[in-house]
Amino acid sequence: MALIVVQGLRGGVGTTFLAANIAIAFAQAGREATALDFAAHGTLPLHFGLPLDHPIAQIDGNPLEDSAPLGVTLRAAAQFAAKGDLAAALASGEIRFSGEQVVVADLATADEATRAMLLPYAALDIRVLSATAESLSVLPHVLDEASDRTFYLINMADDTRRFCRHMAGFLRELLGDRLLGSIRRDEAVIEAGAMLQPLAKYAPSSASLKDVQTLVHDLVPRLSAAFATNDETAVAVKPAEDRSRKTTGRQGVSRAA
Amino acid sequence: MRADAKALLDRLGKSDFKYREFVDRFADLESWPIFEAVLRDSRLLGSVPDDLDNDVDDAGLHEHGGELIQPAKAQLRPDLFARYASSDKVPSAPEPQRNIRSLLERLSHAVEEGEL
Repeated sequence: MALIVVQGLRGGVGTTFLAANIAIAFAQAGREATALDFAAHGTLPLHFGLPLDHPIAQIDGNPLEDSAPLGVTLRAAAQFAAKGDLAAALASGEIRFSGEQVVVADLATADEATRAMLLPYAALDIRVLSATAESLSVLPHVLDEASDRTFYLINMADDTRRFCRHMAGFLRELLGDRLLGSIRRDEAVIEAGAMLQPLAKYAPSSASLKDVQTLVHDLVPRLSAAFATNDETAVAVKPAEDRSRKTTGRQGVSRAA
Repeated sequence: MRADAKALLDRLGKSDFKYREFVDRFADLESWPIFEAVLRDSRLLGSVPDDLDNDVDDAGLHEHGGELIQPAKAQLRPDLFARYASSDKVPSAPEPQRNIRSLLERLSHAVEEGEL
């Protein structure tokens, strides 16, 4: 099991794009993938090429038609978290991250409450930043609160920009292996959204897409190694025998009745 | 993707572009005060030797030999992924003290070598 929390250091750094395409890349790699949209007015479906008014099933609801675009199960989770149900469901084991599933949670930048709830269950905490002084200025605060599951990812990197190159070098020195890498800036990401198409369909040769796929390729063996020693997990999940309890369809995150 | 970009990629037999990395001068790399501001942030500094503040305040970054402690939580431990199961994480032991000037010199060297 793997819950991957994706959250930006600042707004506008492309967190939702990354969360969506990380989930898609895992699905393409043969993993059962779920993407959870924790933003109140999230744009996660946009990155799957879904119409703006396309309904997304709630995390505690039944699956809807076309709720697994590109092999990724989409679930809206903002309302569930806002109602206060998330913490209880996690603690009781009603929601658990089980099996070979990969669950990618797209968190709004300022949503510290949901972050605090999810982080104890997360296998990986990816903090996204762009090559800007704004992102960098938040870094000391983020580092101060980071866990040893926290890693960093530069999005919208542009090596033709001097500060971007310098900041990438600076972060490599500062963070070491905590810096997962960079995702190149690619106009195709914006165009794909405008075309209401997933990037993988609109621009399969996109540099950004290739970087995300490379990232996921690198993450798979790390997560797999963790799974192999994760049977006696300390997080509040139900024992394996309880996993046969009622779940809501093909949800990547199981929620017992 | 724009049609002309796609046509160019097709002609080149490439799936994407990789930008050329341009070489910058040493002075350019040190010209971003925010780097030093981040390094000197109290939340990053496990402890600040007394002479660090004095050296920087009096003579500036280039002359001092101040040191700082690398943020403990920024260190990747080899067994990190093998210990996902544990929720009671003990923060990493602080890395040996590092020197701001040394860091910037390494960055500069990387720039001069075209690695950055």
